[in-house]
Amino acid sequence: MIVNLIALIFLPLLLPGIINKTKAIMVGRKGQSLLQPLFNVVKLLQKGEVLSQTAGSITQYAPILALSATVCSALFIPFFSRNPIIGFKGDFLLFIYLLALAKGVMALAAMDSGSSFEGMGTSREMSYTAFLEPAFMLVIASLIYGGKLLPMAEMFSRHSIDFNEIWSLIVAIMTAMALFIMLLVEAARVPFDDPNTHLELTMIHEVMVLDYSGFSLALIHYSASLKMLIYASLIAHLLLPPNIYLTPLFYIAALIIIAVSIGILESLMARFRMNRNLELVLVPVSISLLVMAALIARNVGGW
Amino acid sequence: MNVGFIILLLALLPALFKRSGWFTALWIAASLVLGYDYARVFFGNDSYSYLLSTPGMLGVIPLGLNKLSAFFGLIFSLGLPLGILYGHFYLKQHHSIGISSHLFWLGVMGISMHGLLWMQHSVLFFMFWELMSLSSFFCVIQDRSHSLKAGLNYLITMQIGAAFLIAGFALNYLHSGSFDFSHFAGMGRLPLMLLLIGFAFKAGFFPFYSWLPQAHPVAPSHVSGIMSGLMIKTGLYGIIALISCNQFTLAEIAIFALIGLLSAFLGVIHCLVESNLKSALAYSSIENMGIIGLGLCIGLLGKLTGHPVMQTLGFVGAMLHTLFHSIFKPLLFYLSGNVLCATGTLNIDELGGLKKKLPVTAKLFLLGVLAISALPLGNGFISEFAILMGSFNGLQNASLPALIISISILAGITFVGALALIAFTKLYAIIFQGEARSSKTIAAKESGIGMLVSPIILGFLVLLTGIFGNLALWFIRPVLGWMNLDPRIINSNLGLHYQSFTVVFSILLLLMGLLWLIRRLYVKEQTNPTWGCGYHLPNPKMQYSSMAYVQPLEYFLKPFILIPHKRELDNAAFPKSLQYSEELKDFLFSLVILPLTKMIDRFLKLFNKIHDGKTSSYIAYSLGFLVLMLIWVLRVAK
Repeated sequence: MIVNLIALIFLPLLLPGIINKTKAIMVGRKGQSLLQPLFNVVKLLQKGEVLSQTAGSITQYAPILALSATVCSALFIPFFSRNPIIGFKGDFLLFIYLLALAKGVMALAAMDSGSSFEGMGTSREMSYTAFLEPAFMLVIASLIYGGKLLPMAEMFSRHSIDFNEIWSLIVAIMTAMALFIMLLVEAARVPFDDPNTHLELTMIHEVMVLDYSGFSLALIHYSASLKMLIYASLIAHLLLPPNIYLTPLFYIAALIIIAVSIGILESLMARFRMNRNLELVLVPVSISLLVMAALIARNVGGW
Repeated sequence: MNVGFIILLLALLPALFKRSGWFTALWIAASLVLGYDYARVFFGNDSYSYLLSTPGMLGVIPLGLNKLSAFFGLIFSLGLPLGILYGHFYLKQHHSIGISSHLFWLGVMGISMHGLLWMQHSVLFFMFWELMSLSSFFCVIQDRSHSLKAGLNYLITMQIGAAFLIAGFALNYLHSGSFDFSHFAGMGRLPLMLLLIGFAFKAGFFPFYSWLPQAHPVAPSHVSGIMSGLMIKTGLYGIIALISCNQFTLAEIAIFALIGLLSAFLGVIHCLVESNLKSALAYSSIENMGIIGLGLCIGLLGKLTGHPVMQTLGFVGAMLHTLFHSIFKPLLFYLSGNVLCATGTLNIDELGGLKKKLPVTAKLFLLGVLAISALPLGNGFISEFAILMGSFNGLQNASLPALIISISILAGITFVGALALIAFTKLYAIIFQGEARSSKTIAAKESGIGMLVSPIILGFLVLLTGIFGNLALWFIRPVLGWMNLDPRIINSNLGLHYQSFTVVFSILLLLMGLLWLIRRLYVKEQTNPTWGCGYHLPNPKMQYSSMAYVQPLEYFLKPFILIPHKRELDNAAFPKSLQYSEELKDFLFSLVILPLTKMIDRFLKLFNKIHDGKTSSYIAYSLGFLVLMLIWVLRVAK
């Protein structure tokens, strides 16, 4: 439990660092330090803030609420240890709705300043939510159907990969694929969104926080990376075989592999056209439906 | 009962003399008395019953309460006085004619809503039902200049629903020989379905919902709040009463689930694209009714397949959502009334930037948004959690059709929930945030503390039940016992979870407080104009509009909504003017109901021709009729 709390506090900002480093190496640069995102956040925390004249109190409260909600949703997630800080049957619903709360208040905060660019980003980000939430529900549904209704952390570790059983391979790998695509969308990475884009018209997540600076921006960066860590941890625990020694070490290795693969993906791919993105967001829905259908076919058809 | 209803009838007197204050005071007093009666039946073992003996076929009429009607009675005795209190201040803002008749019909509406809960007899129930439809019609058309058409549409829809009800009651009388509700268990299929359809008209289920988005925008805000939050619950009361004493087959449950999904989905996507605030709220009522219906389906499915956890969670979720919807929907309608009073418009594309002009309204609206989009801290999440947990439990179900129904319900509710989040962030963002989009909001200001009292009470209840889910669970426990649901299952599957919720929410609020404190102490702030991204002189017109906000989803939702657009471009080589207009149309209304009424109209016009106004032709008709009669009589005599 304590180790999970430590992970929750210190790990998030390492992921973007690894991704940036991978991208730099892929294009032959030396790249910034692995800890640069951490330094950035520390620096931002020390700075003052510039607020829009149009903005009201939501602009000030939203990053705080969003961070608190994301941290609370991370309480149910297995990090180093497979025992989460809090876990109860049905915590996955609270998890997904807390993330939705964070997203909702950030959307309102983005609309607060009256900037049309921020409206653009908000409307894109929110429309992805419409398909991501059902996708996550279906992922959970297929895990429950294949096993039992348990706390989320336990459900993910029970379905982790087992090389002796072909069904476990199918479920774990397919679900991990669906979660990986959801990670790319939620963390605003290529091919859905490019964090390094230079034109506001093409941004999604970055444009929502255009008017933020200082302390609030630090909180926003931190909660975005925390969200990425949450999804990466779920994938990691799905792909780690059960009952191995030194789970924390393997977990760290899995996180690094995920971050490096995101970096490689970003180096090799361009961003998709904006209006085709929603179709791609539907992919996790279809993958999870496929897993569900396969499991039903196994149970009902007696495979 | 007696005292409460006598006070309610007394309240009609000051209504006739336009004494709105006395009317409100008497209503609050009567609601306290009636609420006490309901609470005694609901929480205790008392059961009020009176027997009225009447001559003829009506027989002995039982008047009384059971746990279910007492539950709805408690909802009404909380919601109605708050609505009337709000209406008292709202009507002061809108100096208009016909206050006395409006108050009178408002009183009659409330009396009939309370009254029908006491009637355990189908004929008397139907009388109060009709009285409720009629009086609410008069309440809707308070401002006759632009509400008459929508009001008539409402009245006619209700009459069609009432026709189904009366047919159902009559068939059931033929079947069981009794008007008494206690003999309704195990009734015939046909009357059961007719009654369910009749109640579905009032509750606003697909495909009978088209009156809601028309009647609500034109009705005064307190009436929309009462109708949407409380009156459509009477339809639900009928449906739940019927469901709890009858068995359903799998095919029927599948149809109910489909209807629920369609109501929820169509409701929310229309809410998404609607630009009239109150229409959008009306569509969201349809969505919420759909969610309650889905909860009931989960419950029925669990009952049918012998899965007690699923049954319990489904019914509990539906009852909780019924309770919560009657809290947060009136809240949103009253606040939209505040917006209307302050700006004189409900078109959200003309609003904007109201958060600084109506600060309290804006904050309370945020609570409503939290609740209605089922976000944690709001109470909508508590009830949707129960329904979703019910369907997740159904995944362990052995039978394939039941499994498929559970999966589609849980995916459907999540999808609808996410769309509701988009719809309500849009409403809030366009109305309250950014800069004013038109001159209408310039003079806007809060219209007095009176119009905030009811919303503040409701907003407090939203937060209270949202954070302490167990409180709401404790409140509805008696009605769950009445539905034969096992309290141990409720405790281990919901009660414990709601406790954990409270713990997590306290962590959340603590963390928030801590961060806020740090921010308050250490962060220096300065203000500047919104960054224009290199564009000089951005103006409020450039802000994101309501249609632009939902544009990315339009591609997927286009097949389900009807937005005819008109484009006028003069044909010159260099066109000088371009006009473009589009309008959201309810496809159910414009593609099904309007053509249907036109067909009926055309059929009736056939008889118009014989009506030519000449005395001689009327005499000829009577002569012809007499001759026909003569022939008929002679043939029969033979």
